[in-house]
Amino acid sequence: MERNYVIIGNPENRRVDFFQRALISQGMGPATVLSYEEVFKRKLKINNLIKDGSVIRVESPGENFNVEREIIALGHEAGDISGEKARRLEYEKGRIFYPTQWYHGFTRLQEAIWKVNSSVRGLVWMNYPLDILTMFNKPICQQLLASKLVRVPRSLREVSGYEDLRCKMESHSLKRVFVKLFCSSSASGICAYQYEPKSNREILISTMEISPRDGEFVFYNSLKIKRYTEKIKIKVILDWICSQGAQVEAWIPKESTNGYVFDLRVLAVGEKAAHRVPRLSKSPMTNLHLGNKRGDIKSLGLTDDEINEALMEAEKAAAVFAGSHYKGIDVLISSESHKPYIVDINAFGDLLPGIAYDGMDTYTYEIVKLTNVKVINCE
Amino acid sequence: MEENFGITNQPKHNNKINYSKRRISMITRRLALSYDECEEGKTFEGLLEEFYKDPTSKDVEYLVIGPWQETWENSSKFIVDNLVENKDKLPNIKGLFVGDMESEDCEISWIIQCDLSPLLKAFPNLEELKIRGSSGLRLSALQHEKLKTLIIECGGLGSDVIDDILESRLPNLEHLELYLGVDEYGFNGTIENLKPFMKKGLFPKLKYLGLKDSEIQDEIAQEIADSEILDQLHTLDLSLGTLTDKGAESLLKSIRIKNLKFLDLNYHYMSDDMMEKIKSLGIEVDVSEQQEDEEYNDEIYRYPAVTE
Repeated sequence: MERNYVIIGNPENRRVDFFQRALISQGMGPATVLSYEEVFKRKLKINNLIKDGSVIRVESPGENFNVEREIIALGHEAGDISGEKARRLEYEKGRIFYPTQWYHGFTRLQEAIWKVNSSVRGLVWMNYPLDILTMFNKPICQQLLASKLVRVPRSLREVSGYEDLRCKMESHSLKRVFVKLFCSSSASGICAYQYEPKSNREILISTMEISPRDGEFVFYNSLKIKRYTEKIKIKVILDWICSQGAQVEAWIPKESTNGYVFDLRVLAVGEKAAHRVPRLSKSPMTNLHLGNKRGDIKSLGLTDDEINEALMEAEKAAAVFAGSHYKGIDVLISSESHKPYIVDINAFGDLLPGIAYDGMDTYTYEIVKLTNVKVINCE
Repeated sequence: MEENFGITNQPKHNNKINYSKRRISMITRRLALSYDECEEGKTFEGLLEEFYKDPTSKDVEYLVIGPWQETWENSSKFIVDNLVENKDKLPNIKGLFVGDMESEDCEISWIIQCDLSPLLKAFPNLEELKIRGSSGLRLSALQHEKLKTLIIECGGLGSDVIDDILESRLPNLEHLELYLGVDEYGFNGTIENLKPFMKKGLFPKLKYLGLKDSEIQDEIAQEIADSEILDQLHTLDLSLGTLTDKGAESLLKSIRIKNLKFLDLNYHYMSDDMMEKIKSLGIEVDVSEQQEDEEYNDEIYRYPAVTE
């Protein structure tokens, strides 16, 4: 039986286009696309666009400023600015706007999407909105993984700011940590921070930039990695991330090959590790859009056993979100020991153009696996 | 960790170490403490103890010391003391590399070394000593009959270490490679401190001289271009620094430079035009990794490859 696919996303985004092409390649008709902008215009009444038995794919709302503004407006209760003010925000390249308020709005949006589940029968979700919310909340996600005995870096909880961070690092014997904005994606608001107590030197490596405005600071992401060594700037950045909510965890040295450190992005589909791509970087940030390069998993100097161990750990993490059909999992390989650690799970982590598994791209593979699963269930 | 203790000619982490062809034929062992082992409370002393117990350790010819616990707090002294104390268990050591770690483990300028001279005394058959990190480093009363290769990789080499090397007695030294770095990370000398390396007589067998990764790379190039030392070298290594057309012009004009077999200028700030001229010197050259000036507030900034 051919299923009716519905994508909730930003139609102009290549993610939607790639998925449509994958459907067509499997001889299916294209999905109905429900744009986030439409969702907002209809005041979230999406029921009449979704039929019984539809497969729903919730896509990233990113890279569309109208949608970003609406999400921030939706989160006004938790936030810094009113809904009207949020809708009047002007686009600034790279600017990180009100993360706490954004996440609150994003939560309300996903909850509203999820509500459709109770009014339409037999829906198949490629990713559960509630899973998406958990995956987007790094401290909660890492705690959940740790509670399921997935190997994750040691975390510092409830860090309130720079001074508190230094105290907690000292008492937990950590000199190097990653401080991540709690709801970030794509290296946004991520800092590698280290200090050296003897001479009191410190370094913060991040894509973040700060700029003073009207007696405050505004925060940006750039595509360039910056090194901060002045306490005054480091403090501004860390205080702000912590004020929004931070995931702070041990900076485990990553394994390297030919002068590049690497981690693995593994796409788990139906809990099985499928597509995998090593991400090679000269900095502690491995995200591919920062100009880092893809590697070949066979030439990393890892043994087959070590690769399998990493993939198994990724599958263990994937199983924690068993209700979601796919997720992109970042696996760090500890230098020297080659032990895998799960450092991130991305709800929209399947944008891996050009990477094949079983001869299929990520989207095609997800569709084929979903179809297979359902066929087996019908029998 | 176990694999690290199996005897092997091809170490597991060979991607981290620049092995020359000669060294690959040596029986090599790399000792390194991982994050995981640190978390379990293991120490580098423990790794050394296990290593000495291993009956094959006595055959090891090249020993690589990777990350130890809290490298930014603990100097390498406890390792040096330990190796010196146990030198009789390592009768075949010909090569040592102290501090084989990447910035992901510890920033190069944060690695704390110590006076490594006791190692040279303890291992009279040493042919190669490679050091990464210059903070706290000394090579006092440096004297060794057999040492052929000395390499110091760092973000800034202090004058005290440079003086230690200038005052040393290393009659068999063939290969000297010094990363000079920048003042912010420990380079506190001037071209005057480096001039003695450019005269004959200091190291009679020297064939490879690297005065590299320097923020005064132009001055070094200008000074060395027509110096006596070039008559005995096969390789001059001025790579990884801030070499521009200014320094390169002097190299180009030098007659002595043509006696070299290899001129290494990899990572530089030369113009395309100058690169072409250097390529036509008639000797083997490396002018890869051309860098671009950084401009900020109408000032031009150039950096060596390895600093922090």
